[in-house]
Amino acid sequence: MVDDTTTRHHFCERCARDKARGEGWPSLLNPQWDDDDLPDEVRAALEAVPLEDIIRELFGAETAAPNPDAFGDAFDAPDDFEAFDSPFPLPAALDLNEFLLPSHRAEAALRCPRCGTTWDTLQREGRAGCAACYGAFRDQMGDIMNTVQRGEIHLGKSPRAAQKRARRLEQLRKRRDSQLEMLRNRLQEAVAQEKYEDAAQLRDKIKIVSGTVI
Amino acid sequence: MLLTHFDKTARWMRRGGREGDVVLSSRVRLARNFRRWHFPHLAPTQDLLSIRSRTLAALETLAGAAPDALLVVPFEKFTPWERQSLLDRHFTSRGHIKEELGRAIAATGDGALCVLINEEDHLRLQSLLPGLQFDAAYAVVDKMDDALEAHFDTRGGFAFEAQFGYLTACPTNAGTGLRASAMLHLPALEIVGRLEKARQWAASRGLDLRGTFGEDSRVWGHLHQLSNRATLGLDETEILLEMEAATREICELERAARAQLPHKHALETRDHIGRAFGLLRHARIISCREATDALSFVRLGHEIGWMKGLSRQRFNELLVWIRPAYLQVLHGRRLAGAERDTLRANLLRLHIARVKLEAAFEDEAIGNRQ
Repeated sequence: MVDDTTTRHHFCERCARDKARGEGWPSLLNPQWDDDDLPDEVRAALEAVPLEDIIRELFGAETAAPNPDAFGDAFDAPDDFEAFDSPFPLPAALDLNEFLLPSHRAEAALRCPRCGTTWDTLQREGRAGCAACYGAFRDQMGDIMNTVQRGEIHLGKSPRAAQKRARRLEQLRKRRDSQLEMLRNRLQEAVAQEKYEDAAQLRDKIKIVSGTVI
Repeated sequence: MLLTHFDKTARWMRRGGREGDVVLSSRVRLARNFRRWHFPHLAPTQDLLSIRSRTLAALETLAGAAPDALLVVPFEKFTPWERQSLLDRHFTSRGHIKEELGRAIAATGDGALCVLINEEDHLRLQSLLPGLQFDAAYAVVDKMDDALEAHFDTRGGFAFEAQFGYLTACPTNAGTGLRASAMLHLPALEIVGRLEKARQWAASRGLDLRGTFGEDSRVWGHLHQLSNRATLGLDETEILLEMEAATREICELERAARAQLPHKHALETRDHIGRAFGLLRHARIISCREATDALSFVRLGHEIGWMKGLSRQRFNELLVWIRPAYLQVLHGRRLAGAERDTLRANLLRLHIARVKLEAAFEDEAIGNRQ
């Protein structure tokens, strides 16, 4: 049993050193760790200290090596093993965006559904991809317009067809409103004359007409 | 060189308009896009071709809305030199002639109306008229815009919405899609060193004073383009009125500078004008840039009464006729660089031979000698 334990210690320490030397963290564990540089007594002392203690000192008290006798617990808490991969715990609020190319950042997800142009591309090239971009980036576009233009609301000419449509809508709305007014008057009359059957019919009609969205 | 469709003397080169001593031409253009297609830089080739054929078909049925018969130039059928000649006469833009697939212009013979197809936007309607007359130029494009819009209303329609108005590839054109620009001849402001001030003044009014061929271009022969920056947040009339007022003010600045020339800057001005005259009168080989700058000084000489013999129209014509691409159109064949320089000098000598120096120029020269 004692031999077994010792073997495991050695194995793990070597792993740690190999990682330290070969896998790109030269600055994290300083060269003193190299076996050749260590004075004999230090090496002996290090070997005497259980690995768990070294790890605890290096990576923080809360990170303990898994207990080999309690596999169930170890599997239940697999996060503990991450301490072996990373010498420092990840900061809680790490902004992954900082490591990504601009085109892959989260804000680039702002994308025109029709032509696929992203807000990033639009800003960089100064060009929208299609008419739908203006709707997709309405708020951002509005901000830009307020700086490069005289405002964000169009005041000039509109297509005659659009004007025609607007006029027609206006007419329809007026007609609906006057119809509503007429129906309400008749409803009042019906109620006053106690013609409840008519009143119920009128009420249903009013519901339908007022529910029409124009 | 096939591109001889268009009049040798475009409309803008002729007499007309106001403030002709400073303003060569007024240009108004409207940017329009179709709702159903991506903007040209993203549209696949078949869409560009479809946009072009539909537009050309529409223009055929709407001939009545154009001031004259429209001539069509599909870019694939013409060489880069021929397309360049369109730029030389200011019928289109540098970005437009660089591409060819699916691109085209349809223009009247005199260029009073040009429809640019698949430039930065699907359609750009442009009117180019002589002198200061934004109102007339706008009336031309507005009429064509109404006709096109009625035609396409049942066929997908223009990209338009209530908030941002007419939608364009570049948000700086959205809204009215209207850009008005005036070509100004400002040699005196440059001589007296007040050009930068004029540029700043224009910028403070939300206008740009830029190079001869628009955005990012250099200045040739003291010709500057004044244009509006904002296209959204104000209506067409406001834009045109602001531009007109600003153009008049810059004209006044230039006139004030011209009035100073015979007094404060007499020697320098006489030197510039005299050299330019000598150069154009006697040179046998001349580059376009050199000739344009010299023509500019000779024009200035005419405007301040030191020379006579050439009309403003002739100056405008020469400005375009000596351009490398247009020279080839004029001669109807491909010309090598050296041959162009010789033919350019010949053309200029022919016309400059009519120029006479006035007493005002000569007197002072004699005075200096005594």
